[in-house]
Amino acid sequence: MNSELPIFRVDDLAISFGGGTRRARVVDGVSFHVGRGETLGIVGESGCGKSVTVMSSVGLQPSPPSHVDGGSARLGDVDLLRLPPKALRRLWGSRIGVVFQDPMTSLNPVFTIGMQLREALAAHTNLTDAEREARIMAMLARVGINAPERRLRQYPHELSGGLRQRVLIAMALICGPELLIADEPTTALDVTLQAQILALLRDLRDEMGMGILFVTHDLGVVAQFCDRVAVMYAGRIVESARVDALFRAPRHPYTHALLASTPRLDSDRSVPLPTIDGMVPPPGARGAGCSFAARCSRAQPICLATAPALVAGQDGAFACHHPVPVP
Amino acid sequence: MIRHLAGRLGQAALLLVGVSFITFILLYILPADPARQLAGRSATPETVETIRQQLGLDRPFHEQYLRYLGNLVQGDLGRSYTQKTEVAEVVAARLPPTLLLMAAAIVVELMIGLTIGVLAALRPGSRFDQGAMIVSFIGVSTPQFVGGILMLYVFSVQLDWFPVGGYGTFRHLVLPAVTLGVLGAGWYSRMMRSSMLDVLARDFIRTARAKGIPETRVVVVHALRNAVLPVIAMIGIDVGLFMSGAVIVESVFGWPGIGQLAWQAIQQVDIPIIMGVTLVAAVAIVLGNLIADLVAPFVDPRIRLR
Repeated sequence: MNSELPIFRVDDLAISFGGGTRRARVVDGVSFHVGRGETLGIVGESGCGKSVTVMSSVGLQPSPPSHVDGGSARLGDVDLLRLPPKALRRLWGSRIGVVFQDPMTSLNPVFTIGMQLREALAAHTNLTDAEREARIMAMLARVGINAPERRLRQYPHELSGGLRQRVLIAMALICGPELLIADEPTTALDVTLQAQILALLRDLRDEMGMGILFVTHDLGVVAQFCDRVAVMYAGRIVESARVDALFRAPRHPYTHALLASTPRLDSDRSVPLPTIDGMVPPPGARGAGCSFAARCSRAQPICLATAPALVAGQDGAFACHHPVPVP
Repeated sequence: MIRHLAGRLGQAALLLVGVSFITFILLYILPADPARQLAGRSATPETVETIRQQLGLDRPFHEQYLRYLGNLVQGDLGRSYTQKTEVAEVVAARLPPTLLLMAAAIVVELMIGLTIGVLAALRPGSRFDQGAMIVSFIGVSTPQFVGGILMLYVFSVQLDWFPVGGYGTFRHLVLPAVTLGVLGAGWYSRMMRSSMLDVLARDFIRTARAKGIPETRVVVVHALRNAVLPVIAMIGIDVGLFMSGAVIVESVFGWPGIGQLAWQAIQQVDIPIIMGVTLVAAVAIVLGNLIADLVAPFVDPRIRLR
């Protein structure tokens, strides 16, 4: 599914951390958009700025220590980066739902599941008790939780990780948001649960029509689940494309190397899996050129001198002076 | 639950025997002689010897102790040397003032300590936080007699808002309770601050925020309920401490509680009273901790008593 009119559009987002002389730009010039019923994957290594980008774009990144230095993040026609805290809070949980990474720590241990779900619904609706309970029951059933009456009275520690993540998904979607932010929602789960949770999210997306911003470091999950993908490296988007195009013909050398270092069932096991040498440069040490240049096998003098701009190609966009040729 | 309680009470009984034994030894090896103290300066050696025999202090240590323990098991704490009344009666008469002062002091501690701790945790590193932590540190480092005398001087002598000492009305209660509360609040504010900072950084706080509920609700409902657990354990310890340790404040303010009784008994080497007060304090410490343990599962359902 795709839509011409994006429901969420981020333009030229720049974020820095710290204060005074230690202030460092961690995210720079990031733009992306999500359409109704569409899933945009944001991939990258740990520390590339993907979570910070997404959480900042909806105002959920604590500030300080982070600061949004520029850009816009429009949900419909409101710019979230310019909303006062109260107005933002009205959108959180109602038009924006969030599912976090670790279901074991993301529910409050001292309150029942029922209280935590009721609170999410009560914050944005004026339903009667009976209507609210009915809606909660329906939502729990919808996310595949059986015996919901019993679950409502239980505490998080009485539920398994998979069940907790279903509760968190129910909590994020209970007010029917237009945008769902899923920050590595399957990373903390084992593989069979991962597949179940992904299938559930896909069904819910198709049914409720929300756009999903899916943050992950797992290219396999992106291939299964996303429509489009933006690859982040050292605080910038280096390539974005439709998922099929990106996997078929990655243009940025980083994307290419990342794909090459992903194990596949049909890869030759006698050859060691390729790795990307070196480290992601820390935020303070990013020079004028392309931040990947030091680790790039295709780097030329120009790569160290000037940072390449993100230019639109046939199937997407990439930021590289010497892109990998289309096979 | 019942097994847990039974186990705890058994432990408490053992603890009391231990406390009574150690206190008894300490009092036995004390150079002060209660018989001489009772007889007065001008008494003849014969009189002193007679008193010693009457009190049973001429018997060997093990005999004295076993007799005390035997009486204790039957609920008999003995008779006071100086007041010629049952220790149980003397101590029971002093309990209500001490319990009242303890409750009032803990209320003051909690009101000041928790408020400051939470506010400091919301803005770590701010001027308020730094100031609050310095003040807390001064509070916990100020000796009680200094704090008490300062309060007396300012609010009784200079401003004449409260009586200089005594017991009976609410106005009598204010200064000793505020002295204990203000000085003790520093422990609570420091503990609350660190506990709150820890909880505010947890994932479920982010989840709560992402639901769009008001920030005050995030802090007061979601964070506070989790952060308050160490405070409950601390109240349990405080109950025990105030039962035995309000000696100085009770003396400064002439508060007729257990602490004052202990102070007088020590001066007069009134061994049965000293023993009685020590045992009451030990019971209070055990009870305070037991109550804290029993309350904890209601705050955090993950805690189960075994």
